Amino acid sequence: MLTVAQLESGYNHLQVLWDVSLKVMKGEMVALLGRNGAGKTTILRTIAGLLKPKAGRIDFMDRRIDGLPAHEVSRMRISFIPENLHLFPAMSVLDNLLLGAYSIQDPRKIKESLAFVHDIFPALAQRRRQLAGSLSGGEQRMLALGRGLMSQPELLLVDEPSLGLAPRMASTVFDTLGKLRLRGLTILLVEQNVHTTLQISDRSYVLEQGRIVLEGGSREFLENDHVCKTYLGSGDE
Amino acid sequence: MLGPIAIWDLFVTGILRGGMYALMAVGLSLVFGVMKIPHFAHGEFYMLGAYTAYFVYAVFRLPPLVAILSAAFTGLLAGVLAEKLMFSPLRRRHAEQWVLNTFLVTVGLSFVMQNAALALWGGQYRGITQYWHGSIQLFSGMHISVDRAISFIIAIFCIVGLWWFLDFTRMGKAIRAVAQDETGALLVGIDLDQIHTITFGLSSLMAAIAGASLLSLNPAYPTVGLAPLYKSWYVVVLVGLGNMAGAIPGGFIVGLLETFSYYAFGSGWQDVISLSILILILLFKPAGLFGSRVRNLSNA
Amino acid sequence: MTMAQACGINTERTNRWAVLSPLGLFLLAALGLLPLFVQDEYILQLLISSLLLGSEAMAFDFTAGFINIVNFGFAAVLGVGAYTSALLVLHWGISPWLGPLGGAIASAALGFFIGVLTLRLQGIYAAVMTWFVGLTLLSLTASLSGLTRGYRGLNVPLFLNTATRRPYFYIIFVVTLLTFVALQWIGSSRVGLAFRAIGQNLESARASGVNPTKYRVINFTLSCAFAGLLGGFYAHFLGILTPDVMHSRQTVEVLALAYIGGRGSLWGGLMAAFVFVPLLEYLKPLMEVRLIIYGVLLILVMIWCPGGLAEIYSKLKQHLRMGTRAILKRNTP
Repeated sequence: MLTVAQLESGYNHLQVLWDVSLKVMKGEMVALLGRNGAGKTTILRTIAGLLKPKAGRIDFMDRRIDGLPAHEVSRMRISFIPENLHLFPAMSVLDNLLLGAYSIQDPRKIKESLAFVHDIFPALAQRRRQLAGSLSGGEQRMLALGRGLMSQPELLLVDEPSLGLAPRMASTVFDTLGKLRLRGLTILLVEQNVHTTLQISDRSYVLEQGRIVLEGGSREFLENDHVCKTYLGSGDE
Repeated sequence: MLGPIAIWDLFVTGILRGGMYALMAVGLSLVFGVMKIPHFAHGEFYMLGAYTAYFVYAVFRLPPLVAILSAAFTGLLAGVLAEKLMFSPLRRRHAEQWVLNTFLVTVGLSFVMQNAALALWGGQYRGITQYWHGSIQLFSGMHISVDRAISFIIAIFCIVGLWWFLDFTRMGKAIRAVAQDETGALLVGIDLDQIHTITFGLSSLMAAIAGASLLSLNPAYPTVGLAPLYKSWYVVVLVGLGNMAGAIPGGFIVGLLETFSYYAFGSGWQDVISLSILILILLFKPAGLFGSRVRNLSNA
Repeated sequence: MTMAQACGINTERTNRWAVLSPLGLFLLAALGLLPLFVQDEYILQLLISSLLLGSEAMAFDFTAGFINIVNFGFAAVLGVGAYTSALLVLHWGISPWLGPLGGAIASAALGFFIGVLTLRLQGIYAAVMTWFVGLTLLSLTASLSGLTRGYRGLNVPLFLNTATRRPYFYIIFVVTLLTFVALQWIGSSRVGLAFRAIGQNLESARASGVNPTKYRVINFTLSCAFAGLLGGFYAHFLGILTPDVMHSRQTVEVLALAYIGGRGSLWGGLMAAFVFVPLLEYLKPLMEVRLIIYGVLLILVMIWCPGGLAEIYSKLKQHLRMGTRAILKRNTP
């Protein structure tokens, strides 16, 4: 469904990614692993159109999407949930969600999305009138996920969804991601929490200094002590 | 001492001016909040509105409402054009030093528009005595001229209309979303270019309406926009840049203050005093009277 | 790539003693000798206007291009210098030759004051503050009509009673030279480096030990001092002052020249003045058209070439250098 080929990207004159190629199949959950600064977030940002690639190409559902502006990528049913969320803090939870469905015209479909999101995150339904900026960290993360789901995406790019969350909250987030996958969503995930990520994902790519150094089934990685130690620190961080 | 009737008159004038300042300042705030442009050509759209209304009303002899609507349309068109021709290419070319560069672009635009008006229509004043005749008797000698009452209603109508637009429509929400988080807006599929064009057009439209409705108070001439410009900047700095909600009470405060201090000190000194007050506010509360945080815009 | 380079600010200057390049020196000498051959008063007038506006643009650029704050009250500061000089001569009987120094001191004090006022303000807020200070000074000057005669205009004694403008040319020539050398010298010193540092990024400048407060005040004081000096010249050259010299319109003209010339280059503003003042003077019958051209140029420069003439020049030089290198390479066997 998503094919990234020989991608080179970065910020201004600082190139971060070198010759990155990866594939995500429909219905898969694929994880990007690696230390801080390895370029995981840069991959997501480039796919989402927030960064323009310097070379290489990105194809999504048989359409070339590299170089498209971010709002057009979003309209192609790719939702990026960034690490720092980028919510609209002075708007209500409900307005944030409705803006998530900005590219959908049909009011019935919007209602459908809203019901779907409220079903997954009942807390967002309860707090619909509250301002997004006044939510707790965990709730904001849910709102960001919910907003990303409102456009009925095919592919979800999720950056560090458990960052800064209490363990219980984090496991809720992972449960949710699992549920979404069961409902047929394709997910490309970046996570620090290697152990959990390997448990819930199908395949993983390991990045080091902007290059992909390893790829394989997540379960195999989990069982391979050498991989965990060499590339990922000793499991959980 | 002032009698109650004189006070009433000053009050009415102050509120009327205040309504127009609010209208101008809301537009200025909108442009700054959404596009991060410190707009110094805002007064020129006021001027454009005043000229349009004058030509439509006094030359073509069309009804006042048509004059004001044509002014609104001209303002919108000019605003959209300005955005497409200048800010849109600038944004595409380089985003560094955006605030400073756009500021200088608006300074240039103001120069161009003022002098184009001078070249096209000359320096003479083109005014009307009033759009609507008659006055409304309130009680014991206090009255309002219909002309001013209607101008005031137009200002309020525009402000409420804008509010409704921003709060309840899909496009309005998208505009607020861009103001609050640009990246977030991109991620949900909002086209920034489109939002910027609409925002700049709307703000220019409101300035043009202000210029058209105040034609009986301030005749059209090339630099007529200067006073409204600096008054609306006064308001915006008073309440904090980008604080749209604050721009409304701010407009009324400035309108009333100006009218009463004009009466008390005369025109020249009134400027000195009101400007000194603002300098003090900037000095001690740089984020504005209602602002709480100082926004760092030096490198924005 | 530093921000300075990204914005087209010329940072290559390293040798602080090389205030003038050979080309600059040649142009300067040529300019100085020009009035010996030119008798035409009209051309002299144009040269004087170019020098005056060019120097103003340099003084303006010293703040705008270095610490990155637009002094929108620049014309008012210049006006304060002009009025101070005029009033000193009129009321205290000081020689018109010394008056501009008084103007410079008054404007420097004002610059110090503005520097202090804008201390806590960033970017556009600081510009708005200077704008409001300028507006206040303008209405103050207009209102204090007992002293300044307001819009009726103040008659100011001239430097000399001569029929020709040639002496005035040499006065402003010396003033320009002084302004340029002084600003360039400071600009390429450690102090100038500190200015550029706080202009590019206040926080990182602070982190690397540059005190923004101190340098901002120093910068405003210096830039305004030169504005006052030029104001003094203006007063005793023209012979009449009205509050209009302090109008923001005048600031915009200087600002346009400085930015068209190239922010942070100093000489760019002077160059721009020599290109555009005569060129636009040619269109004098249509004052509006002239100002429209300024506006359009300012907009075009901002959008397409934010480094102004200086950027074009340095790119050209680079191309030439690479071109010669390529030719040399080709010609070496």
